[in-house]
Amino acid sequence: MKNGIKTTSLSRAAIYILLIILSLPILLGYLWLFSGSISDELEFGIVPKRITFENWRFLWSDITIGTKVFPNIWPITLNSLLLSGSITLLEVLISLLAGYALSRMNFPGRNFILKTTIILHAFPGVALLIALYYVLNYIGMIDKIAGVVLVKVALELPMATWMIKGFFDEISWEIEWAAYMDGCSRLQAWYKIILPQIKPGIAAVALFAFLAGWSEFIYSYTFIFSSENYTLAVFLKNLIGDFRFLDYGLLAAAGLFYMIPVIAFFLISQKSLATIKFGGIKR
Amino acid sequence: MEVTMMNVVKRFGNFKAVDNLSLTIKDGEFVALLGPSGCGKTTTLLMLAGIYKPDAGEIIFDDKIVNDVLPKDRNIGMCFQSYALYPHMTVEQNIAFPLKLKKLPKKVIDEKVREIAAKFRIEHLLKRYPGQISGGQQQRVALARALIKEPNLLLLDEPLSNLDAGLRISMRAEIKKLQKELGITTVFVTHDQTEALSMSDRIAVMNKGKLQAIGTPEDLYMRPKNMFIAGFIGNPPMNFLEVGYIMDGDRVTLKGKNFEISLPEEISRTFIKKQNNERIVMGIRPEHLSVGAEAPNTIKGEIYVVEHLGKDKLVDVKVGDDRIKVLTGQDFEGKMGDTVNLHLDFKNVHLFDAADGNSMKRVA
Repeated sequence: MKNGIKTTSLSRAAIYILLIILSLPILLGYLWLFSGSISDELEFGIVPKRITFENWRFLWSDITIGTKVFPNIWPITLNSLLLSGSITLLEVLISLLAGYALSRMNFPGRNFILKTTIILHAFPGVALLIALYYVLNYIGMIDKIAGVVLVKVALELPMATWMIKGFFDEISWEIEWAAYMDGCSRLQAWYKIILPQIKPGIAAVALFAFLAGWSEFIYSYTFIFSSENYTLAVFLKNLIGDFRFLDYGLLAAAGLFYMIPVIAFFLISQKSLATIKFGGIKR
Repeated sequence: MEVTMMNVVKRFGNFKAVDNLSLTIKDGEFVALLGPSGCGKTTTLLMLAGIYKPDAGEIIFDDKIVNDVLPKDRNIGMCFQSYALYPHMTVEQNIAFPLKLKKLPKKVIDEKVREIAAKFRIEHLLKRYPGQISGGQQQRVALARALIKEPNLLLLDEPLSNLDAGLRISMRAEIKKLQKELGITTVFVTHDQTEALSMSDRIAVMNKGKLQAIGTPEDLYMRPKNMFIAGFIGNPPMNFLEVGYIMDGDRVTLKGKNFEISLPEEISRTFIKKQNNERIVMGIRPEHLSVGAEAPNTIKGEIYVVEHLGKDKLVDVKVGDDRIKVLTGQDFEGKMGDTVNLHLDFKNVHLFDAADGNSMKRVA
């Protein structure tokens, strides 16, 4: 018995050591980011020499690097929130309707749609940049946040729909039928009976959509030129822009600022996210 | 409400789930749809519910064809095998849901919920969620939800099959009593003949999408129309023995490989006559056989195995290649390998045409 406990605690220790070694590079990276943002010089790579909040000055004043003046970060943050929020809203709404249809209804072309949506997801979005530019330009959506929203939603939607479809698949037909017997129309059954049961799924899709929108860079960078429509990702890129005057402290602080919502989201939702099963490839 | 199904057909792809079904259920009647799994009984129920639309034929409620009426407009109460309670609502919200959709005032709803909860003895559960109550309680909640809107038709899809044995017997009586009290037309789907026999006014037996027979429990048990019904109704099932039909004047003799039975004249008269030496099937239930002394006109065999069923014993008797099951009293002392003589209760002998399986009983 004693021996058994010993071996389990030994192997447990081994697992922990392995995990620590594996996560060390990531931890060190974050540590550097954090220390760098609150000091003007680092010792041994990660130990702050003197604490200063000078690097966070972008929060209360305009910043100038070299000769370049950067706009205030708050309107840009608002743009990022607007972008991610719109993407989340549209993606959740459309995927809830499409996922229901793909899970519950039989219509010609259903299998074709199921197969092609997944191909669309695998398609590299970068390859579409030029074509998308033409399209957005043609419909007058270039240099607008709404244009980026449209593109992003279109490309993220297949995956979201598949995920949501999996959640709908888990709901038994009997529950839906019971709702009809009780007097529900199809739409009522959908939002009164079925949606409340896939809340965790909706939360997961919303979270992923928001994070995808928040970290969106390539489309914002390509399709938006006016600085009043910049998002945080573009702002961050521009901070690096001129290598002669690169301010690492400022970059670390801005990077950390950019990460705050992401970290907050995961802290809040990690427990419920961990319990979600992404099963459901049934048809 | 009277329910009529006329030549109803339902196909799934090439598979005919329900094949030309015609059936009338009288107002206030309790009808069981009985059959093995996959026989189309649940499909039939779902067509009555309006979930499935028949491919042909008509479904008529009183005088109105309802083929195209949506489930929500049919005023039907339904109780599913899985109960299908809404997990995100409390018991109270579950029961109130049908009335809420009808937009009744909150006071009326509360009143009715309390009333029906008292009837089903679930008042103390109203604030709980379905996941927090037992299977038997969930079943009662599902029934309460189905009945609160005072439906014209109650549909029950294997409502007892998820309950344990003791609860099943008490719910059987309770549902039957409730149905008679409310006088509500009820269709009940089951694969368990004991449930069907004990609860319903009439039983519709289905097989392979076709209606095999409809009748009172007694009808189906005493006068089965064909071999399927005879074998399906009754537990343990009826024994079937292939025999030759031999007629000598008015005297009918059934000749098996290892036995010969002469039917008394008053019995043989109740069957239609056949050609001499034609092959037919004799059916006799285990409860209509007894073990007795060696005598003419009995079947001699050897005990193969004896099963204890509690209140009686089921004796498996080997007669040549055939095996015959006999129900005996608990005091039967025969052992494996003993030679026994089986006496037939001739009033309860059934004869069937070997070719089409139809009963040879004359229709009175």
